[in-house]
Amino acid sequence: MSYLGFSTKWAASLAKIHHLNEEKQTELTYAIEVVTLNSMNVLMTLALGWALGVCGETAATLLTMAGFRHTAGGGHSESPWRCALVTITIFPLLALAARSVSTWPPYYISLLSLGAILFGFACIFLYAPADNPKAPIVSPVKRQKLKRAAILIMSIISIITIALLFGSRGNTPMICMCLVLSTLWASFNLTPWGHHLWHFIDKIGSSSERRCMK
Amino acid sequence: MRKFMFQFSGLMVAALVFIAKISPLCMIGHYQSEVPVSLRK
Repeated sequence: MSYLGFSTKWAASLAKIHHLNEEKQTELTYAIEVVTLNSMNVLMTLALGWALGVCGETAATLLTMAGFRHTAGGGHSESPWRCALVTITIFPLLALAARSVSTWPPYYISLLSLGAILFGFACIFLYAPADNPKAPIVSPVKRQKLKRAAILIMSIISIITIALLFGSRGNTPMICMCLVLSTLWASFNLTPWGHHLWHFIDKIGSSSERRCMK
Repeated sequence: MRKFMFQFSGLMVAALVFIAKISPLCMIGHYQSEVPVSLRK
């Protein structure tokens, strides 16, 4: 098991205080890493969203993504820092795009929403749950449960999207587009192209790094 | 104070292990930490 330095050290000191065995210490290390990285990503993403004037919309994209990925999974980066960089930039960008798209005529907004819902369901039926070597889903029962949960989450997102389509008060068109665009991004992450994109992001700069090391 | 710190860190350990058990898949970010073998289902 390989974890980042801060989580290993923190878990080791907590395990020493509470006399935990090796198995519990590894679980603790994993939990510290997951909680810290996710919290930092969320805070930095919301901070950038706030700086760009789209904090609420960024929160809406994050919530949609969290619900979707918790059950469906998706493509991942090999590096926590590259992941953080993409996460911190992509959600405020989606929120800004949602603001722009929400000014389109209602016909196009409805068409885009319908497309996102269909694409989301298609990706879930074809690829969810998308695990990876670092988090394999070993039990077929668990796999089926996650698939059912992903379909349920996608149904809830679809109902909220359709309800927001009929609302014209305040920010509803913008929030609706946040849901639509983050559904498209999360669904794309499930596809083989999404995995290729992350592989490509992981490869950026790696050849020059290797040259420097030589 | 020492007892309070001990109890607080104990609660923190319990909460973290609980979170690790309920959330094996990465949620918000795009990086997956390696899931311990004992938590793989």
